[in-house]
Parts: sequence; structure tokens; C-alpha cells
Amino acid sequence: MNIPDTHAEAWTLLPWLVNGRISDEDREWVESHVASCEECSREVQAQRAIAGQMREEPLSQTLSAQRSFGKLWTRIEASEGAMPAAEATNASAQHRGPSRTVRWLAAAVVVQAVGLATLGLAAWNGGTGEYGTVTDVPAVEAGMPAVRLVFDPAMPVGAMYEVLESHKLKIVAGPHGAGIFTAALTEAGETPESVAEALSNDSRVQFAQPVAN
Amino acid sequence: VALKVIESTPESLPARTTDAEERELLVRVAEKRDQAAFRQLYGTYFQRLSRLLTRMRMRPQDVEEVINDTFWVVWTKAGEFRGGSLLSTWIIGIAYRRALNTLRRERLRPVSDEPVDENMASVPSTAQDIEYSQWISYGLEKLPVEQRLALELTYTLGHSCEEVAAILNCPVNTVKTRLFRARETLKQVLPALGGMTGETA
Repeated sequence: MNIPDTHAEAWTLLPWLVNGRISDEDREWVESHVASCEECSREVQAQRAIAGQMREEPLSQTLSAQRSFGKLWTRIEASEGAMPAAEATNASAQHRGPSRTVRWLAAAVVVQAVGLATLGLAAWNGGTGEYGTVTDVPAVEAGMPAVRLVFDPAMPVGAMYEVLESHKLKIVAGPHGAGIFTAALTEAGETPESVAEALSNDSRVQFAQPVAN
Repeated sequence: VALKVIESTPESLPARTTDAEERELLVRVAEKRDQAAFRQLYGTYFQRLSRLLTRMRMRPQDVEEVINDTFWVVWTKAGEFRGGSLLSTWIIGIAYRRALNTLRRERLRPVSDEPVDENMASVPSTAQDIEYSQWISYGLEKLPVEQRLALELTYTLGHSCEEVAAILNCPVNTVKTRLFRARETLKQVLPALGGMTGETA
């Protein structure tokens, strides 16, 4: 390698001599060249000044890492929650343990199996096989306008009272099988049909039906 | 922990973690879906990527979008990283490509490596009073984005020539050429460097 080529080659490598990421092999001869080349020596000083200023330069930072991460994590959770369990497992967690969805499904299968076993045992022991329906609920007093309803099981007792109060109802029987209550109408002018319809539109009520007297 | 470091010193880069430490975090993300490890990795790169993307003249909301898109890929593809390069090269490379797509989509800035217009590099008459650091900022603004990024990756983020080439997905000689041109342009724009720089090679 002649001298001009050495100078040109060294010149292109000076940025990595400045940032300390030049290879050991190149460092030796580039440093040797710089030591004997006034032009390269001045360039190293100039580039060190630029590098130092760039590192110190405050770029406008209006973002919060924590807030940005929160957005990303919400997105990830929403995505994985929306994915079918098997797809979520394959797509984003090749080696991961079972996802929350899979664990819930597994738990549901276990509960279902226990339930089936219990039913089977009851049948084996000579169970009658009786089952209940809404119409099996004991009849209310003749002529009393009433409705049958099932509350959202996750609803607290206080909210149940709110539902009853808002529709002017009074529990007269229940709960019977499947959580069925019978409630009498206390507001004159309302009919079981209109109240049942209003209850059906209430998100806190799973089921409502007028009682036929 | 890393996030707290960033929050408390918003204008400085957090202490660099080693590639081995970062790979360990990635393995925890890939194998255990470890949120804490993922959060730490995110914190490690947030400031670095934020600086780099700001150098590309991206708006803050675009910066956040690109960083989160990048780490979305990290989360979903963590198990596919084979270690053929530094983890930083992989992650920053993803961010760079995402940023290019965003810039092209929104046509915020032209992305090219065209030589800088000499007239654009002229110094305003009031420039004599501008601090040296402001000269640097001014000079960097005059560079095409690819040259600016090569400088940022080299001088601020401390990458080797080969790593810069991998991130920018170009040959090593192209990186050398970009830095060569960037230095020449800065020399024209920065009279304050006059005493420190001499004739070019």
C-alpha cells in the first residue's frame, strides 16, 4: 500500500478511531499514520469535538418511556386477548407457558368434568332426573301482578335492591332453581308485561318474564 | 429500573447494557413472556431510539409510534432472533425501517442520499454569534437524513462501521462514504471548525 492510499484509507476510518470502535487490526496502522500525519491529526481533533457536541446535544424529548410502554402493553394485552388461544400460543409465544385464556379453558374443562361426574353419580344412585324450569316456580297469590327474574350473578346485593327499587318491585318468592326470583309489582298502573320488558332491557338482569295468573 | 433512569435524566443516554445482558432479557421475553424483562429492554432502548428518530426529524407522536411498533415486533418475534448480529443492530434496524416507512407514508421528509445543496449550506449572517453547539445542530440539519443517521449511530450511539451498515442495510463502503460526505459538509457549514480542520484527503 503506497502512502497516498494509506492516507485516504485512514481518513475514512477516523470516525471509528474517534468513537473507539475501530478493529484492533486497523487501529494499529491508523494510529501510526495519524501520529505522522498532521492533517489526519487535526481531523481527529475536529471529529472528537463534533462527536462530543452531538452526545451532549439535548434533543427535544417530550415522551415518557413509562407512558409509552403503557400504551404498548395495553396493545399487546388487547391483541393476545382477542386471539384464539392456540393462535396466540403459536404466534407470540413459541416457548411460553399456557396463556391466561388457555388456563381458564383448562379450568372450565375440569369444572365441566366434575359436573358430569356428579350427574352421572346421581343417575347411578337412582336419581329421578328431575329438572326445573321457570314455570316450576311456585305460583304467586292469585291475581297478584308479578314477574319472574334472574339477576346478573356477579351483581352485589346492593345493586339488586337498586333494581327492585327502580322498577317498584318486591320479592315475594325465591330464589328458586337457577336463581329465579318472583317479584310483585307495587306501582299502580304498571303491568307485568311492561315491567318484564323494562327489566329485559336492564343490563343487570339476565332474564325477566311476566307471571301468568 | 431502566425506565426510572430514563425518567430522571431525560436528556442523557442511559448507561449502555452489554449485548449479553440484553440477550438474557430477550430470552426471558421469548421463553417466559416476562413483562419485567420486556419493560427493561424497552427502557434500555427508549432513549436511544428516541434520539435517533428525532434526528430523522420525526414528530414526537411518530417517534412513539415507531418505537412501539418496533417493540411490538420484538415481543412477537423474540423467539426468532438467532443471534447472527448484535441485538442492538437487530432492534435499531427494525426501528430504522419502520421510520422510513412512516416518513414515506406521510411524506414528511424526502429520504435520499443526494449531495447537499451548496446554497443550503451557506451560513446566515448572524451566525458569528451562535454557540458552537448550535453550529453543530445547524450543520446536522443540512445533511441528508442518511448521512445524519450514520453520524448519530457512530458518534452518539457508538456503533462500529459494520454495525452501522447492518442497521442501515447497506454496504460498509457506503457507510464510509456517507460519513466522508457528512464530514465534508460539516466543514463547509462550520467555520468554527476552521482552526481545527485542514485540507481534506
